[in-house]
Amino acid sequence: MSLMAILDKLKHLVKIEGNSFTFINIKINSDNTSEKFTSLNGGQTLGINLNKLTTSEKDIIRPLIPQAVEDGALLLEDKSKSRIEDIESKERTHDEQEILAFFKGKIPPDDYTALRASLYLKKRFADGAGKDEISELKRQIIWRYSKCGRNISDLCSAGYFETLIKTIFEEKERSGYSEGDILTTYNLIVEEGTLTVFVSTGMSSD
Amino acid sequence: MSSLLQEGVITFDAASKQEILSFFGKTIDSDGYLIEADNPAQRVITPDGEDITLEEFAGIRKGSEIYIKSDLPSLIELIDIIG
Repeated sequence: MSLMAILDKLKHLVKIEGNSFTFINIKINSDNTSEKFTSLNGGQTLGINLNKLTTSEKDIIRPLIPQAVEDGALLLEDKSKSRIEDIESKERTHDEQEILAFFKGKIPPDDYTALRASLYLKKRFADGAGKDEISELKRQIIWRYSKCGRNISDLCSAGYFETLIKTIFEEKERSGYSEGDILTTYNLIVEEGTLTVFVSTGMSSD
Repeated sequence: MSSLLQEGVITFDAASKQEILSFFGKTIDSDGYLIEADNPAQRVITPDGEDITLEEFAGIRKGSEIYIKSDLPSLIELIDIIG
């Protein structure tokens, strides 16, 4: 049963004055302020306050949510939805598109996701996000990707992916190094977390 | 708004988490992990085999109920899956 079909099933329950029931999303909350049913986002979102539902109304709604997910609706906490929208917004900027397009397919998939996360972290820092948020986002990167994640995050925040690491890839490709050789140098950098390895391989910084 | 999240999305606030989970036959154990309500010994896991705490729980998507965690790498991966 699609979300639209489920919304259709709720029509007889939902009484919102002046509403023509054109909802395409649902927003569930449990607060003490909003009404049982509300029309949000210009009539696109049906707000449902679980705290205000009667037992029989809840009995009607309860099986509909899992059915909607089974049929392809995405069930997402509102703050994660906001986070996703923010990530996407930042990844649409020219500078991020450029750096991500360059490294996509060149570095391991996990490193690529760690890079995306690190670029987001960097942008949140630039936004003026609080220390707690920044620490927590970095902790999440390190928890998932361990030492390499930490190093990618540090190298990214210092701007090295856009500059020296990108240059290493470009120079080595131009010089005819194999993908494997280039990746070996890259892996040494992210595993060590510094560019001392870069210097020690004898490449000039010019 | 994200083109991926414009339609067919059910969102919930933090206060609704436990009740939403009950709709799916899930509850929380004493350590705060998601478990099967009818089998408390069975923890709910992500496709990667990770346990999920109530705090980490971010949502569910289709496919035998795939549970989503709220950490940054998980949300980035979700963008690619639903995109």
